[in-house]
Amino acid sequence: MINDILLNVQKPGRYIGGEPNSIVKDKSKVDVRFAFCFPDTYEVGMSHLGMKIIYSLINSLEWAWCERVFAPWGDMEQQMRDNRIDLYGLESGDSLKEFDIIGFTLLYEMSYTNVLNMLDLAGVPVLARDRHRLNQLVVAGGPCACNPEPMCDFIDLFILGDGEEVTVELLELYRKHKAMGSDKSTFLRAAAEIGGIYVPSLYDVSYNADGTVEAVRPLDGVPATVRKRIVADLDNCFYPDKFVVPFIDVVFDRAVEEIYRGCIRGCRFCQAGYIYRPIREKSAEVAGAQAHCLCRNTGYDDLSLLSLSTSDYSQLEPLLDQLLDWTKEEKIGLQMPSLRIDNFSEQLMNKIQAVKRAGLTFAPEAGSQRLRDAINKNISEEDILSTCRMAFEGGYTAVKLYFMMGLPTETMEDIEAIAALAQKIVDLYYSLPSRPKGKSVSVSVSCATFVPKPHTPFQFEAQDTAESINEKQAHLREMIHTRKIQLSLHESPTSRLEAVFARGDRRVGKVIYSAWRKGCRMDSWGEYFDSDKWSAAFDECGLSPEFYANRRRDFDEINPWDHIDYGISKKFLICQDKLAYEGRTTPNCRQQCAGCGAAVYGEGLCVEKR
Amino acid sequence: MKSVRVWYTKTGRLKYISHLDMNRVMSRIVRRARLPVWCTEGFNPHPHITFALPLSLGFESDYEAMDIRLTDDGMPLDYVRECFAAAAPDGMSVLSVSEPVSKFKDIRFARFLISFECDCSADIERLMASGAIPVEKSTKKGGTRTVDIYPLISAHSCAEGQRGTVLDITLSAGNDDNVNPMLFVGAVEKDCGRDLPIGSVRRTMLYDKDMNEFV
Repeated sequence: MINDILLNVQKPGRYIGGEPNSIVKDKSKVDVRFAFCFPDTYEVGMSHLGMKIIYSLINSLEWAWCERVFAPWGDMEQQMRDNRIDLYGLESGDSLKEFDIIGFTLLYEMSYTNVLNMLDLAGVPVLARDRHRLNQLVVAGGPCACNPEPMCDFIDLFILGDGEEVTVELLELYRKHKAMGSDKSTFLRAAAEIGGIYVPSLYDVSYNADGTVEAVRPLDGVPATVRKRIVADLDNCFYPDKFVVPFIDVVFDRAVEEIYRGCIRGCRFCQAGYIYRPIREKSAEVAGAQAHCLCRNTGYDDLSLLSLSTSDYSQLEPLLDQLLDWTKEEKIGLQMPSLRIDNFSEQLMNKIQAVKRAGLTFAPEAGSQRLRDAINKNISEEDILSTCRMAFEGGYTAVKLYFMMGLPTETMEDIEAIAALAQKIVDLYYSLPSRPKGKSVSVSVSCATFVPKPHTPFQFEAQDTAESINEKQAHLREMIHTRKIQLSLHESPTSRLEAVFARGDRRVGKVIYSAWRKGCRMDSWGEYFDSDKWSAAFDECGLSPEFYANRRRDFDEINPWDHIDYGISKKFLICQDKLAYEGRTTPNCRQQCAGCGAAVYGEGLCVEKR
Repeated sequence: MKSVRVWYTKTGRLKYISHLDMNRVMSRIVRRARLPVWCTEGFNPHPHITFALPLSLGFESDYEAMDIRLTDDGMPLDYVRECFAAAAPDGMSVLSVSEPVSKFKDIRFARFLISFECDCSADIERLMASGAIPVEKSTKKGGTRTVDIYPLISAHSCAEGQRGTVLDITLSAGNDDNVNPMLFVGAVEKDCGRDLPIGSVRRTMLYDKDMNEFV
């Protein structure tokens, strides 16, 4: 047998580093070493644009070195623990212990236990209060940082909002304090002065007898609220000119060009639609040039445009014309995720088809018009059917539809409407004389469970209970009578936990710690998720998941994240939640300003002429 | 259009990259190198690449080859080599680029250097002296069959390395009668009744049916 632990684990290519475009520096010549930790597998982490941006950004600083760290799969974790190998940076192979700053990106709640496990795998104390020195500073950013409270026991400071500017400011401050020999608390106090940096240990939280938050008190004169950072101008903002190109197959293995941030739509369930405001677009010229550069430097033959809603990009046609100039010649496939059903034009479809044709995916989110209005989806059944007609006439035979279950105000009639809509699409296909000859149609319907998220109008809402979701799923299954409709219903055991952590307070951190001690990790993977261990952890901490997930919150209750300011006013969210119950929609940001509050930044669409 | 043969090594961390993944890795190297490579004309156009002989996960190699087709007939081979070398990751040295002489299916033998982390030359010689080495080989249908690999070993010699025996062995390779050297190691282990830890396995040469170096 070959004597090598990497040959005893699956996919050793996850753990070796050395990929093209990865960056190795001389550690004796840098002042700050940063470990960018992704709390999931290599394949998932290497698909994440945020990591690529921050990796290249930090490495563009001569005095800093950023390395990548991913959560090992169970077989590798076992080998590492058995052979006393610390979790290491892929570039240097050095233990996480040796880093100045250990930074995590928090993309989804079910990765929280991996944060603890990764620290522990390198012998770094998991609890912030057990790390006394300035090095091994644990920081976190990413969308879940918009309610950082559940992770406060473990993280020294959070980076809120866009990271391109604040990360550099933070590293510069760290470099200065490291040179001065400051202690950790001095540094943290200074860091709290940087806009967008939240130091949880400088805020004291008290609770009412009923378990709700009584008050959040800033200590030592730090700001009472912390506002997320944004970059104003995407054309002049840092964007990587190369990506690390993995050796092994990863989830999204392609060049990615971000075309804008924010979303004009304001769907009331969608956290991304609010926390990335204001809307800021990159120009077609810059996006096109960056994309070409990326393709050349990586050797990728697939390019994907990234934004929350590709077809809402105001310069999509000029960008596509520019891209098609060279993507065709260089045999590069163009992928356009996140298309909206109401402004998907024939020209657009033909342009995508020009290179490679994949399936079409749309997200009506709700089956009935009433519910689509309540969630402010702003698309009509006519939009859906006319887009499908166009797609079928253009040669497509498969459409994928995404829905959510458990939305506020939802009834069984809304569930039945999902099946009815899918059936209408099947019927539409067969009514078209110009449909592709001799081919059957396939409509796949995918339903996820709704999770109320902070900083959205539905942050006050109770999550539907598992029993109710099961009942609705069973009913939907009964409603579908044809094999032309494929139904995929997502299991809900993790969605309640997601709801707990999305809107949890600091006490929930004890549950995360306890569950991790019981062996929970990789909770987003079905083969690892252990519902019983989580239940035991809640019991042990004397907390009930229902309190966080299934309770409707009063508008005047202090939410655990109310001192975290993402530019969206609570008054606006309350107003939007009320409109949902009245079934009234809100126009999109391009049509009319709804006054969400993001104009405080004085940037992007908020200050442009409409 | 002309075919060119790229000769390269696969060492260091690249030994953890499977044959299947190598196809993608190479296709991206070709693109980064911006060579005028001919692409397949199917649904998903991609550079047309063929490999000499798969290399098992965990093995290193000093003598790998792959063929690509260039649409520019006049491109100097040395220039192709330079472009390739500039785009190759650590662990891959681009040795040379040549015009193919024989076909990959003409490969009949492969030579390996196996560095054990124990002394086992006596065990190897004892097995070789027995004149027959039956091993279980898995078949394509999922079952196993017994094959005598003794006649498929064309040469072997043992030397003393720093950490143990170093076996230099030449085995039948290619489409028919391919023998993975780990089959031989397994037979030695079974025969001597103990595990033989290995530090590295390295493929050092490919040969045609007349034992000439494959070119």
